[in-house]
Amino acid sequence: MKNLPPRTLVRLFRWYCHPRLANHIEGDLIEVYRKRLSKFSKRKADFRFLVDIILLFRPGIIRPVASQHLNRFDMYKNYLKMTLRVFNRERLYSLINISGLAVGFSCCLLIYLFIADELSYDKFHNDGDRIYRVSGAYMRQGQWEPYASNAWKTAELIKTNYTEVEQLTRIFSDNNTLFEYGDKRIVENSLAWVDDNFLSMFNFPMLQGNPAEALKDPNKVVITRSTASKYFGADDPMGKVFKLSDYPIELQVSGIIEDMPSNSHFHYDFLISGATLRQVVPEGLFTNVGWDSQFVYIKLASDVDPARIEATFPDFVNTHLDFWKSTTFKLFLQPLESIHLESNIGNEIESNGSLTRIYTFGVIAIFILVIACVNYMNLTTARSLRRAKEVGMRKVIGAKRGDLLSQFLMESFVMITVATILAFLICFTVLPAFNDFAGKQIPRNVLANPQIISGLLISLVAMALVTGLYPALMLSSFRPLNSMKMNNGTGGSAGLIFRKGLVLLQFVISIGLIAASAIVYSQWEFMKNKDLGINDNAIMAVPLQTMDRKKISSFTSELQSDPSITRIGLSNMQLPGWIGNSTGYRAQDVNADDEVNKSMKIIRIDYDFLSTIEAQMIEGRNFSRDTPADTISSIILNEAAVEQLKWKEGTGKWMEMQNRRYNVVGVVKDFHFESLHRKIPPTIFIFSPQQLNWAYIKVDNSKIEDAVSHIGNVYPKYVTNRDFSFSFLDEDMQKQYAGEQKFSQVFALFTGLAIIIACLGTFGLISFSAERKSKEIGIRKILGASVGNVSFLLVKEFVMLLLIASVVAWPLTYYLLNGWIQSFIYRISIGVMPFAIATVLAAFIVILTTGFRALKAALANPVESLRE
Amino acid sequence: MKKYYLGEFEEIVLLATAILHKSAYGVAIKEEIESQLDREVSMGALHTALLRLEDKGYIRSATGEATEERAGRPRNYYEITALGKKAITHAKESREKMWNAIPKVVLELRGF
Repeated sequence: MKNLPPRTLVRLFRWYCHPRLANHIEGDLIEVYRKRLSKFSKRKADFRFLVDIILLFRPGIIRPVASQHLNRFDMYKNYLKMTLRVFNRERLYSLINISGLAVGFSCCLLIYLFIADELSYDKFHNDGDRIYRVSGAYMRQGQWEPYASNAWKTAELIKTNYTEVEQLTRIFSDNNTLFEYGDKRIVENSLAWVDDNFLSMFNFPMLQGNPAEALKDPNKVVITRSTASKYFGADDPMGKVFKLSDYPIELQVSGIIEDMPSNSHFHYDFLISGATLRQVVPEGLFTNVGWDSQFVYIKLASDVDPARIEATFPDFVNTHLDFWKSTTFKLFLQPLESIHLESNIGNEIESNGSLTRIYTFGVIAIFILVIACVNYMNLTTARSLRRAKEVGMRKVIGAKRGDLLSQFLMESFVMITVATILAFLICFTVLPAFNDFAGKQIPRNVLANPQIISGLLISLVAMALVTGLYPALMLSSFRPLNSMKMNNGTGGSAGLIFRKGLVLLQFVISIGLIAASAIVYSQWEFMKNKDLGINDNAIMAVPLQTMDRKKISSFTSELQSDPSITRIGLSNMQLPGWIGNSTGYRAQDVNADDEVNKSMKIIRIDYDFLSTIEAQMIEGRNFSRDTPADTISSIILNEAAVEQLKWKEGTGKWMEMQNRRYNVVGVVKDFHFESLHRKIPPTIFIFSPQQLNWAYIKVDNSKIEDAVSHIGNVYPKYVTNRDFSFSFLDEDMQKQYAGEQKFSQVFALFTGLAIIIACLGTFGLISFSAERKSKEIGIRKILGASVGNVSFLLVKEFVMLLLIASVVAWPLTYYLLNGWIQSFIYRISIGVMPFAIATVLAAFIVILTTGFRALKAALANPVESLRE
Repeated sequence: MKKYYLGEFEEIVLLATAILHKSAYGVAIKEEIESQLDREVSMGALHTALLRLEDKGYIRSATGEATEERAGRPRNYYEITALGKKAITHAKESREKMWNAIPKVVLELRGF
């Protein structure tokens, strides 16, 4: 007889109904259903059946949630006891396991703190999302060269022409200025001349003074709390007067602000009222849109789309900016909050962070976490096979799978909690060292931040579940009989493959990280050691500071009287450094129209600059004291300049700049004046003794100390209000790549940690597999296998995995690192070496870690292992 | 005095079980109530009531034969227990006692 109600509904009922009642109630239901069928349509009967089933869903009839109501507290106590016993019994494994996790977690936590700090830059300003920096870009050699700064007048014009701009403030960064108060004379390097609304645009809390008034009048200065205590100690700083004898002007303290937070993209100790600028800067500059010196920040009205403002800039440039045209100059907006991470353009206030770095470290953190977790899973699973008997026993006594699951999950929970606490302590201890290393000021109390604590707790639970679930599932699936008979071992071939896959993953990450750090390191080495075209050895760079430029020649001749000093050259700029001056030009045999948007950089030097740094002349001659014309109308070009002019040779040809004609007397081989991040620009060297700022002093390598003390004695005769300071050129050259150095160090550090964690895991695994195969090894040895044979048997497996991992890791790493390396103008080609190094190094490490254990297993007396 | 807890619907189910004597099972009880009282009885309500009555010891159940019309599912037969009988008797008596206490005037129906 057919006519049964819909199966799904019946199944639904069976699912929720108490098993004791299901049968006869279902019988009743079917009987009623059939009776209804004879009266109504099938649809109606089905519907009524559904209603019946829904109405049956009530307490008493539905299946109880837990079939037993036991007090499980004692069981949990037992689990905890077992956890501790297992920990105690297998101390080595457990220590490997926990330390791997703890190191991994602390790396991640540190990287998290680093990234969180980088992301927090400039987020503390009110309406920060509406504040933009107006930056400019110049057309040079067919490319836009962006700069963070702009002209004073340009800002003025923006203010008057854009009603959408709610507020505009200018910052004129300054350094190397002598402040005097009482007997204190300190050269300050963090000062800025700012517009009066600086303090209302930016959010720097004022401790004393009125933010609206403090910067209104000329000769006012707002200082930070620590500057105030540096100069005035416990005295009230308000109204005190600084003397700036360089100008000379006086500044009266009109307000105190908190020190600017570390996560701001600029830091100033002194904010001088912008009106004071009129007393120290020639009036003409305030009307010149070429005076590129100010950082201009605007706050847009709340509903204004910045893209719309930007779209109007070309017209604005054409109509208002004097000699600038939209083809040679453009303006663009940079959101304040993105400046630290995304802006890396010319003339930045401070060197900024980089998104690439954030991504790199984020990826490394994830890798380390994966390696640590994989370790944990592998070790726990491998180790737990030894507990098969316990599982069998528990099952026989009545534990269900769920009970075993919760037991093993709890174990992993305990382990991970311990690891997290350790990681927390590690972080707490190494945070100051990490700060030094990463150039950060992350305070320790950040670790007590509820956000971090709760994040830690959440990830703790997630981690315990993720890493604990696989071992727990595998262990609880043992059949009691098999596990008692001890013919278990692998946990199934699927389990074996899974675990090998995990090891493979670890190897891929490790090899990739080694190869990547090798590439990063060799790029840094390359930049450090590249032939710059000059000899920077034993050259001291000394800033002339406030020296009277007319006395330079007596200064240099007094210096040269000492035998330790062999040669002195001067230039207007610090080498290495960014060449700020550039000019348009006309030149012989060159169509002026072709050169409209082209320019060349200018470096001002004296007779001996090029010979001091040992730059090579490839044609013509250097400036000479024997040729009086050199002081007026001679220039030297570099190769890049000759190439830009498409001249075959430069000597004897003429160029015109600012309507003055110069003769090219020589061409110097290209050398790197700027850092290797920039292409060597076409450069003109002009002889101009009045505008020199830096002396480069070649000293005898064996008499460096004599030279330093001699210069130290002579210098104060010529510069009275500044201290003598110097640096060595080769060290300055290296310092340019401090960023790369730090990056490569951090990379290497975390790679090292990742490898250590992976090693711990590999060691744990080989120990386990040696133990498991102890009988096999015993039999093999009895049958005549050598120690080498047996060791190889154990190591082979890992070496195979390593080779497979190499094949996966190589192309991945190449792909990722190639993108990074392409961002350098002067770069290494990646080649095969880093990959070969990575695989060989990884193989070496793997064989070393596994080899010892394998050897120990192979040397064991077969009698011992077979007797059990 | 001993107390018997018997809800209105439970009382009806108990009565139906008693009426059907040896042949009381789910559907039969349901139909008995429906035909006697002219009201719909849902399977859910009925079985909850039966479970409660059994818990209270007013009825007992026994698994019966499986029949074709129930697609092979067994019947569960219910039988009223001595305690159950006392309970309905008590219910009836207490009602009657109260009925008797109602003054005649009140029960004179007007307008019929």
